Amino acid sequence: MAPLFAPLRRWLAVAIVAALMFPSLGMLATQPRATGAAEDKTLAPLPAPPRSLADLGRLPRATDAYVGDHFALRGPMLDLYGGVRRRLGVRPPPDPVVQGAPGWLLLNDGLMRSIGAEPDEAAIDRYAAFVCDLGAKMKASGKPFLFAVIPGTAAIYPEALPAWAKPAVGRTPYDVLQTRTRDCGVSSVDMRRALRAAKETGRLYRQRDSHWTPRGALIGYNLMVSALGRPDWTILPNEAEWRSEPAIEDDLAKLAGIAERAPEAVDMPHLFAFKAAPASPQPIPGLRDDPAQAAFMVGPGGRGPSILMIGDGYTRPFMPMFFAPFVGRFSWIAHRRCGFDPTVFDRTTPDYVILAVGEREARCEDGRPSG
Amino acid sequence: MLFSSPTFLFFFLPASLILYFATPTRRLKSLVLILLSLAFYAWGEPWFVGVLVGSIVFNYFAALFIEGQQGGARKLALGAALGGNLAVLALFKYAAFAARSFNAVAAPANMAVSVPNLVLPLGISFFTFHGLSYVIDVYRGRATANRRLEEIALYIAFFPQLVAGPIVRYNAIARRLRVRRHSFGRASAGLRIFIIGLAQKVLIADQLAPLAGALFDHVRKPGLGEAWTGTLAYSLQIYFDFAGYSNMAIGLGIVFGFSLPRNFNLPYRARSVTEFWRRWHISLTRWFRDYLYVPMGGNRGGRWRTCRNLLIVFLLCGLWHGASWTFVLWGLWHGAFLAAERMGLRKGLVGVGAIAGWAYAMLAVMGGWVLFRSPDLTAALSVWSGLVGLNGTGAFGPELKGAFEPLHVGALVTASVLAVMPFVSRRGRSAGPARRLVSAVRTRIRPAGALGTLLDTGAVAVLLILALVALSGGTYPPFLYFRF
Repeated sequence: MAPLFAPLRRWLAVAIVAALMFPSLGMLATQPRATGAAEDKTLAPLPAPPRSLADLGRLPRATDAYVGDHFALRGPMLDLYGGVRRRLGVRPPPDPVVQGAPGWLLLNDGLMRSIGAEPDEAAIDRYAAFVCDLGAKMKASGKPFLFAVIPGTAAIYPEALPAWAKPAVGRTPYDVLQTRTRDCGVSSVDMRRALRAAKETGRLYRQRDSHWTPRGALIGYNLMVSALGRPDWTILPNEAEWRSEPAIEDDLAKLAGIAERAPEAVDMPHLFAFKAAPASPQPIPGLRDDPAQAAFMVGPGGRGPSILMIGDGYTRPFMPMFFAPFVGRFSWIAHRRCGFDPTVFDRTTPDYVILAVGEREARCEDGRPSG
Repeated sequence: MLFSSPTFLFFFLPASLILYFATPTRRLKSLVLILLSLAFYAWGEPWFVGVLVGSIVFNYFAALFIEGQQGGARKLALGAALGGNLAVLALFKYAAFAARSFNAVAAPANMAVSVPNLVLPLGISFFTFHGLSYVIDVYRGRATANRRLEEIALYIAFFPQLVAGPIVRYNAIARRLRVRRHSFGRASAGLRIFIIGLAQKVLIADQLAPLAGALFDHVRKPGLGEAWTGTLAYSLQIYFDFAGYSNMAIGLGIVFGFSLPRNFNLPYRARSVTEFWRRWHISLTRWFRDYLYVPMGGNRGGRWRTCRNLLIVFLLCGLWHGASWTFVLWGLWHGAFLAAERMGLRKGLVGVGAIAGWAYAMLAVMGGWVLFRSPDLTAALSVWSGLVGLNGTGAFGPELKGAFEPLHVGALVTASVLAVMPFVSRRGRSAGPARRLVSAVRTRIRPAGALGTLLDTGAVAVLLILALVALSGGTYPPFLYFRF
């Protein structure tokens, strides 16, 4: 048999070149598509003829993108690719964004936990232990400490959920966390009832972003200052002038790849016609320069109590402007799933400490010690 | 243009082959190859074609000038040629690094220079070394200055080895610039090696990248398991990535009638760092040996001078890889091990047995890769701490856990076996069936008989299909050595 195959083998080059030419010739012979349904993406358009040197410089990249998206047999190859990967045990990455009821996008991360479909007692226990430990330390140092979990969109707007995700009926991780932290003596705010009750006053959560609106944030702020025993710091919604403005960022729309559409409009409060505008945020002196430990402070201190908030994207944009008129200094540090720089207490010497985190972020990193 | 991109595989490569083989004479074939090479380079770096063409023209005339000089004038002419080549490299690759380093040192004295913001032309380190090789070989009389500009252009710009080697010394390839043999048999053999290289890159190296990336890009304090998994993944990734590219270049070289030198010879089977450098990036090691180490005195001046020479050569080797202190330290790291082996460590290794020697070499090499891959020394120290257990031995964090897919673990195991498994038995006989099957992803195989031929051809076809399927769903990550 060997003499039979040896002469044939020299034609391998022809077979390889023919195989490599098939996707290119097939591509030239077929009509390009605008979208790839299986991938849920917009395919690269045919590059326009260059009209300037800059266009010419961009032409190779644009051509690579076009060829990469349109070569013949790409669809079957992608199917085969997905099939082989599944057989090899590769989990497809979950879509970060879930399409909810018409007009609503929801963050996949934490959605099922929020509606009680994924009770994870161990994770709740770990986070409760972190909060209780922090509460005990604050108690020992004589600082009032407040813990607030900011509910997710699904908890306040169950009507925004997609059909396959039923609203919570029993106890959710939020309930369990409230119970556990109160049991260890931590002052804990449940914001859900007040937020649900205020839904009629205006949109409290964003439809194309994973956070609350300024109106929702103001209700949360009022709940927190009331729980701190400072009702004199309350800002009534009618004390602000509300103007509809385009949102600066729509994180879910960006994740879903539709950020180019018109941004969502939100009601922004204009408080400062009658209250002093807060000073610009300044770095907290001595805190290590680490983007993951983002921290800042507002106000020079000395003319009123000092607040330290350990928070996340729910509180960072709003709380400085709400607190600033009433306090000497407002300091904020990012909570990174049970992690933040503990030296922040010495560097800001707070009179009040608030741990305010979004429901989905009320977790410690897997397998990592808290603190 | 990337070898592993659809544009190259489905358009550029078939078109190049058809155009090249349809061109009648050798000289016209060379011109076609030059035009293809310039187009290949322009596709990635349209504005830097001028730098490449400038290097070709400069070295062409420099060699002619050097050849016409004698004595001191010849030396002076060589100095000018070397200076010209190195000045371009220094400007694009090292000026910003030098300025940043100066500013860091001079900061206490309130002195600073502006940091130039220059984009590094793709493959400048490789084509500059080709130019240097040419003028030095002419100076030494080992080659005559070539009167045909197109042959020098082909030597420096030949697209398969233009952006990531292998680095071919001029006197080793000069004859092939003029006399080349072409046949379907050679083209088939070359494309077979090309496909094996493509599979090494796409099916192995790219599958290891998530594990390595998780450690080096995301974990701040890796535990023992995380550090070892990520470092092993990167050690194998860089080998299969670079060896894959080299095999693709060698394969294409054969198709076009050239014989590019072998660049890797199972480096992870080395039992000392000295042996590792005889097996890793062989063309670069030989370049440094022939054009730097030996002219500096090599090992002819006693042990201390040998050590000094080794440290200098490897410091420059580190700098060649990148303008950063981590690369400098990586070079010194290897230089120090080589020097230590010269001073007696190697004799000691002979006594401890093959496995202990191999373990020592792997520890030294993998420790070096930590420096090579880390963005800065702080990150490298963190990974080293993890490797010795100083960050704890706890479970994998979410970053590594997320990358720990069965496919990636499978790639890790497969790559580990392929990286150390010989495909031909020590006595020179063909290996058994299992090893021969494994050797389908290696470059050399001697199919015996019809069954062997069928198996080999089938394996190559499967590798091509799998590689193309993997590419269809991928993002065509660039080859790691492109940035050098």
